Amino acid sequence: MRDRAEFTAYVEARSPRLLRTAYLLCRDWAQAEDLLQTALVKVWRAWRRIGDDPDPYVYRALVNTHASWWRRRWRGEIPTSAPPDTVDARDAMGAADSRALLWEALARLPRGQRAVLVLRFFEDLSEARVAEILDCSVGTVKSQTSKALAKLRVDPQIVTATANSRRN
Amino acid sequence: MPTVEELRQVLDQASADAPDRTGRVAEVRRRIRRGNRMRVAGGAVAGVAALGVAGLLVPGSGAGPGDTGPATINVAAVMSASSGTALPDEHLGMRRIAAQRFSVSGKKMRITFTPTGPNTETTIQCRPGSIAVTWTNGHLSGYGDCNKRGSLLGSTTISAPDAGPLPVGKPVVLDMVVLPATVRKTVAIVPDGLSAEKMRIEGYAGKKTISRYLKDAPVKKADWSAAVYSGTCKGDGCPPTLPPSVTPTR
Repeated sequence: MRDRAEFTAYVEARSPRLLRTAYLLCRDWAQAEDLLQTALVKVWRAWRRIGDDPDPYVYRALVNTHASWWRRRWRGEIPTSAPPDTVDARDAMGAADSRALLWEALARLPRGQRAVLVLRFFEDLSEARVAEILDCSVGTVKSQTSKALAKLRVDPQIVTATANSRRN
Repeated sequence: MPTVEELRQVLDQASADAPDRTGRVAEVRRRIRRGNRMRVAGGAVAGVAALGVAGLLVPGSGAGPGDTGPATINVAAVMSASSGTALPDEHLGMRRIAAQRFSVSGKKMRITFTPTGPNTETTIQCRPGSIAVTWTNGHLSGYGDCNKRGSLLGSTTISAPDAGPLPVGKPVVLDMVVLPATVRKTVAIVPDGLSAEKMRIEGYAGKKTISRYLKDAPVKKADWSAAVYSGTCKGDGCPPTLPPSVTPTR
């Protein structure tokens, strides 16, 4: 699999899916494209060392690159002339859109926990596989998954929306 | 109360509208080529004690591009500016063919060398908090910070044939400058001749180019060293070679 043509074939075949993973990590399509390409360059540099299954290395490059950007880039306030378009939990229609609330709640998770959820529930990777990618123990993956899901369950907006929908 | 199934659906739907991007492979190749040309890694901490190892320095350090000092360097026992130990005779399977120490920052310094193999590694060792910029045969060829990374000797550029070869047997003029890292706030490390529009697009609006900056840059005392290795690079740190289909035709 170390052949360069195979790297090209790999990028062509897998990058659409990997772009989605990158987007779920950073939640911005332009940044996701940049993140993916940066990760793929890193992957190419290690291509000869990577085994027959490049995916774990690619996921790791994505997660680590995103983490390093997250640490490095200033993430202050973004000036805007209009208030952000958020769902009001008291709005029955908004409350009905629990998926939108869940998507917003995902953004509030710590970066590491979000990465675990993306790998576990979007990429459908096993806990052992995620542990290998994130270079941590299976126990850590389990606990991070559990904490992340718990945070989503007690997210104030989701809780309020759920209560409102029950009342209605 | 969201379920795992709902979470799966949200992740799937939220990422379903990925913009259709053609040319990603070409863009990745371009980044790889650019990375091969400007592959940088950190230097090491420059201990004060190491800087005092004057007895083994090669004479003639400080020769700038306009100077007519000896261009070919005696490489025997040149010391690393960072570790104070002798630079290895061989690195990544390549032989050291040139090395020199310098004592000023803010001014271009020059060495010449003649590649002996398909890969040529240029390593600059300078203090953390500095950056090194290089020009190969007059063209901006790389820059990097001087922070330590891994086992690399310093701020390192490794050429590869597909990244613009340095032909075996053909002399190369390497100009280098070491600057405080803070200059990057006001200086664009870009080739000369970029249009104002291009500078703006690249995010360098309002910045001086490196050449312009160097015309009146303050020259200060700073100890740093450069070494050049050439041959066939062997090891994990070596740049991969791209397939012929993506080799630049420069």
